Amino acid sequence: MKPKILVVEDEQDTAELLKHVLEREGFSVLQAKDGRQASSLIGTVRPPSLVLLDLVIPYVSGAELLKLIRDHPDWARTPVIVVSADSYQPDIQQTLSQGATAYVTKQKGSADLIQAMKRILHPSASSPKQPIVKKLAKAVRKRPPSARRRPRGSHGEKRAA
Amino acid sequence: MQRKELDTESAELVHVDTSFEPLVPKFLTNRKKEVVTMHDALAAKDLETVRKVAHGMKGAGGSYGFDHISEMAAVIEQAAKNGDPVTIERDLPALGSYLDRVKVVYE
Repeated sequence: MKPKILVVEDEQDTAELLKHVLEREGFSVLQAKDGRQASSLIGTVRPPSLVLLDLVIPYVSGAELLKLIRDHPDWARTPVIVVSADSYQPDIQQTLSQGATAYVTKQKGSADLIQAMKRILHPSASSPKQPIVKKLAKAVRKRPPSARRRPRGSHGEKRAA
Repeated sequence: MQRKELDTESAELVHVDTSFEPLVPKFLTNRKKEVVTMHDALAAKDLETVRKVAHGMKGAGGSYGFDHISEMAAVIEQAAKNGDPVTIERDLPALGSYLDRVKVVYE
């Protein structure tokens, strides 16, 4: 069964691109175009495999949604990748401290995002030779270089969840 | 703050993932519409609308791999935040012109 990804994104072209990329990568996509739609899903549908969350969205902010997810008994352990146009380091750190699993900036044609998703959903299958996601490397993954030389099981992954 | 100079000429050729090809024409058309929206908002002294539209363009540009669009939108977003219509008046036509000139290579 395909892993289901909830995409919370209000910018229509970006939402279409994410759906296109995720389906190409073999994921099933559920979309919410604003915070109100997304919050109505929390608790009414089964938790997805992963949430991609824009921070600046109408009605209910991404930060508020993150709190709703972390406070919900069924959704609390769902990985959440914050996908944002902003790259201000203090904001990234704050978002991670509030429970985001990773923070990826909207750059370079979504390649970083796919890398981050694969690392989170299939940590043992990720090649150690793949480039480490820029923001993820700085903010979440602090493995020493020596640890990247051999494959590791899921217990080797460190996240901020 | 020192203004970041943007080298538009060298950024006119953009290499984009082939699988994005069906989506890119609409993406560029919508960015051109947003330039008009920001122009109208600026004329109405509505910098909040300029900020919101520029923020969306910054993210969309980066997601599609049009990093120069994202950079130009970021300058306009910051100017709107700073209440600086002069910078927006200067950079908005440059953004519109860039959108008319940009060439896409799918690979």
